[in-house]
Amino acid sequence: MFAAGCGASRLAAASSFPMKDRTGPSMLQEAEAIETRALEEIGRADDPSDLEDIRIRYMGKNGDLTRILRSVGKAAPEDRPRIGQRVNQAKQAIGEALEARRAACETGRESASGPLDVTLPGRRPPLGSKHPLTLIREEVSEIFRDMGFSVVDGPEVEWDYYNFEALNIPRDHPARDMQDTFYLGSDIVLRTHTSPVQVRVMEQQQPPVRVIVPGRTYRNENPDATHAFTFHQCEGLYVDKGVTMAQLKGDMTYFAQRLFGGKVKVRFLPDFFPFTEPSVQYDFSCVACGGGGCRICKNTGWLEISGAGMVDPAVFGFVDYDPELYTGYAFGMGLDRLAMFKYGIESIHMFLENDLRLLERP
Amino acid sequence: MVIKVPLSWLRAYCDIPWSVEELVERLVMTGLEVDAVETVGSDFEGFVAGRVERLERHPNADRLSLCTVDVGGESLQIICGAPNVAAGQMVPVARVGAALPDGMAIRRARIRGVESFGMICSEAELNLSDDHDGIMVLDGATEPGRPLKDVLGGPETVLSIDVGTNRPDCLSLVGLAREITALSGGETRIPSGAAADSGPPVESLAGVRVDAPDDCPRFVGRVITGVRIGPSPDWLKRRIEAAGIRSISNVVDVTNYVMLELGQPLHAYDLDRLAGQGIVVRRARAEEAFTTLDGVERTLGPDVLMIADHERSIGVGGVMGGLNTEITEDTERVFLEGACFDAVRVRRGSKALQLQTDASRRFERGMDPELQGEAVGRAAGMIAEVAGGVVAEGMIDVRTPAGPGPEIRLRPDRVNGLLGTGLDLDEIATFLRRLRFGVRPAGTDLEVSVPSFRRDVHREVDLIEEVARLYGYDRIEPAASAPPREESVEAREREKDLRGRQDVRRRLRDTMTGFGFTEVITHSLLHPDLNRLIDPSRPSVMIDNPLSPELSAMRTSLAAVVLNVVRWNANRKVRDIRIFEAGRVYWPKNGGLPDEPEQLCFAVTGQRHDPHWDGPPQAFDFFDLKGLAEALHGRLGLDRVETVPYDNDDPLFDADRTGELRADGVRTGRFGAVSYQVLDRYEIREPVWMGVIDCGVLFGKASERRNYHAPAKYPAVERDLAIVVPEEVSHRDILEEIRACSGDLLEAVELFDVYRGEQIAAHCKSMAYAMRFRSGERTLTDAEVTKLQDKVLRRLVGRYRAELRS
Ligand SMILES: [Zn+2]
Repeated sequence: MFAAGCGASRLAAASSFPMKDRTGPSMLQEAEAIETRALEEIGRADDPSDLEDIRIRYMGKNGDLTRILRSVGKAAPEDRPRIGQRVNQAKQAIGEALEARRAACETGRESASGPLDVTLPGRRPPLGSKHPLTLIREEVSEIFRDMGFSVVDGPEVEWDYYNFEALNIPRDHPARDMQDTFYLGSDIVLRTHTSPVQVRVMEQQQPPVRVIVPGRTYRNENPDATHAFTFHQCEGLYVDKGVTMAQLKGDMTYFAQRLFGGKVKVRFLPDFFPFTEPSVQYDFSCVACGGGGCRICKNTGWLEISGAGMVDPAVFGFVDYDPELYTGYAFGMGLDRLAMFKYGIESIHMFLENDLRLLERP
Repeated sequence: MVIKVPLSWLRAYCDIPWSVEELVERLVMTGLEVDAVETVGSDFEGFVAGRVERLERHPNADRLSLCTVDVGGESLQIICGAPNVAAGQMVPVARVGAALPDGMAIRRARIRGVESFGMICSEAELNLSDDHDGIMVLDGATEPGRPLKDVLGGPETVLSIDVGTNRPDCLSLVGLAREITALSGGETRIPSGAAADSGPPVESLAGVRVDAPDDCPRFVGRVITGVRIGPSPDWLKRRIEAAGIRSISNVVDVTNYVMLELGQPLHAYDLDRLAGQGIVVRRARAEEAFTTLDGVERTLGPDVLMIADHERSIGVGGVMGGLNTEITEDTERVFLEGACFDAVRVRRGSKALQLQTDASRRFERGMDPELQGEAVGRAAGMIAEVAGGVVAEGMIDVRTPAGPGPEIRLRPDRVNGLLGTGLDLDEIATFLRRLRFGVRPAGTDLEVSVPSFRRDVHREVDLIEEVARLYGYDRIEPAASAPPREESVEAREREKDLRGRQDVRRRLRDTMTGFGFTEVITHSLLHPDLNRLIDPSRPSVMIDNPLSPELSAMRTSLAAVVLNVVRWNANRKVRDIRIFEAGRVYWPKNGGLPDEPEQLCFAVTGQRHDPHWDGPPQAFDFFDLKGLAEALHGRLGLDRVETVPYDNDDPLFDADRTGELRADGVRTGRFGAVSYQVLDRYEIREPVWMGVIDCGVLFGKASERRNYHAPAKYPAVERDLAIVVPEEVSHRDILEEIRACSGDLLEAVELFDVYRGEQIAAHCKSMAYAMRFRSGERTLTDAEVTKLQDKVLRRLVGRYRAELRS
């Protein structure tokens, strides 16, 4: 196959360098073009006999470069030294390249000594992989970006005010029991969700606001089979004129189908969160069995994803949005959980255990 | 809060026109999560009540009793191992041929040589509770031989319902019945709170003073005299036990019964143990000591609400009573308390005692201020019924008059605007009426009054949620949201900026994985000693209430956690580790929140390449690491990337094998061999190469922009230069000289050989460079280049005593 390639380029070489009507500058250009072409062919050749062909074609008695040298007399006298110098330079470059390539071809041969056994293991470049939590975060972010959301983040060590109070969870509210919290002094916590970033965004900018906040969150819970003290969450917020719960359902359906496929359905069940009203729990139809019931969905046909709802007017009060003018929806989701469903990971503890035998996917 | 709901009991307050499955489904769709559905008891086919007539020791076994049991018209010999069996007891008997609820068949058996014709059962064996400490003892008045199903009732279905913090009204059977009838359209049967009170006026027997009216807007008391404390009748015991509350005595059981029924926590005191026959409601004094029912003495402070008599504290308001006024077997006069306590005050009390009770959980969620009179009346009547005695006339009712409940204007436009529905005024009104809201039309809107038990509803949006619940969330049709609308220029710039930074993060990860590294993500909490080991001068951000000392500090460097991953995997025989983590570290700051800078940390152990049949393995070395770190910088578009000696006594790295990375003269990170001191601490036994990069600097300098350069027009001239220099002269020193002399004409310079050996003087090395010169404006002449080369050589000779190598 290489012979065919060489033959074709030989023809091309013959036709692209007509030997008449030469001026100094055009001969210079020609020399440069010949050098480029020759180096390219040398790079592709992998047989010493091909290399010899190339040498003869360019530097032999009737080679292209030799012919230019012979016709140097036709150029203007002041151009002649330059042309000569250029051609010699090209000869030197081509000669070195031929030498190097020949050496390379021979080494290759030596190591493979004998007929080529194509079944011997090749040298694979090492394969790295991203962590499943990164993969899911990138994918989730991409889907929401397509829906017009910005991806933002904020501090993990957060003021109590942003984590709780401005989300309508005052001190002494029983809802604080739902979220066992790590404290760093009386006013600072490790964020229990990423929603505080939404408050920060709303403080900074007027509607429309469309953001998701993927990030690390913390719960002061002793780890067990289904709980860890570090979670990766993604909370979202959309505030504008005329945002409805029907849109929340439509958008979550779009998201679910982009992530898991077009057959996935979303259902809402009533729930309670201090920062949304009405509040729902949202489920996806089981991505493993399609809703028929299996081990993953505990035979219910549904996977509980997280909470969502319409932003409580009290939250708008904290950021000076007019609740008569604007409405909004907010939702959460556990990236750990989505990754488990998406990649068939069985235990939440796998994520931060970093067993390379698992992470290094083939 | 999860409550257990025996269905037969719930049916006392409403009809349930659905199967259990349908009921569960509807409860879930209306917002009451059903955690579990269990069956308690059974139909007890072949079980009867029996009286133990005689009890003898088993002739061949000390622990076994030989019972003669009257099961109505015949006596059976039954062997029983329970320690609490006694002659005269009425007990549940499984006769031969019966099967226990768990399926075990009762047969005629010979136990240690003596025949047994049945079994005396424990509550656990009857599937009534987990109690298998001894046999169950029935009400002594039961007739022997009566089928057990008639005594205990048939099998009971018990739902475990998780009630959200916003719906305290559903923490009772009557409240749940109201939800069910709102769905079914039926009637709720609310028990009467009127008690037949024929005793002396209550005011002549007891008094109540509320010194903290804000904490206790209402306190209702009644007195029952002449009670006889004893066990509860079976039906009462059975109901509260099925609901998960242990039977204690008739009077206490009634208070719990009524709490489960109506949702109002009640407390019964022995009136004769109340000093001054009175109750005082007040805040605790500073450092006030108090012994709770569990016998533990605790110290309380003034943010806790106390219940006291005229001499001492007798309870913590809304949380629990004290030992000193508890009902005992000798109690004859009962003072019954039903109060409305402030939610926050009860929560403080509960926190102070570190104790949550069925009462405190209800109060914390908010109490209906109209419920106390009914509940106390209902309980007083029941106590008189099950414990005898007479209810004193009237009730003590100390209260701050509650204002009228809220009136809320509800706009149908707003309902449909928020939900995305098309409901009309009548539909909305119907839903609300079923939930017992008062509804009257007001023009195109509705004027809605809220019943006292729905303290969670006080705004229009709360009503909209009620409408949505009853309408059904499943009936809301999904709609697409508006496409991102034309936003401001600022918004676009903000997004561009944001995306720029996120893109660098992504490129960083793509590059590292492209280099063959696997990403890890680790915990950000660790033991502060690890921080101190890696970065001794930096204090840690500490957690006040950590899960354990091992998780009490936030990491100040990724190195500390990445080394954990190395160890974990090395211990599992993973060779040739190549990992990286890109994540935050946490640095304390004076005042305010800590800094959360991002770092990149990568670690390598083992070989340069995967093992291959073609050649011997080669260990990963310093220059692999350096090349990698510099290539990463280059990939992110950083300029003038170089490595310089890192002379900082950083304990992470071995001082002889470490370098500092710079881009454009600014330090971006450091890398090298992890020091033995650190490796020892982690018990890692093989060398680890590591780099720690400050992403902040990296991101600040990374550029998205690529300027492409047109290929050079004029030919280059290449020259090699081999020189011999003393050992202490670095590659960088030589490079700087070459660059300084050649100016713009030097296109590239590359070190292609370093040699030490026989032909070279001691303490010297030969360094060979390939230089490429090119001008952007003309073809360089040989002479010109030779001049440059000579100049370079002269400088090197002058400065570093270099010699041209022949
Ligand atoms: Zn399934």
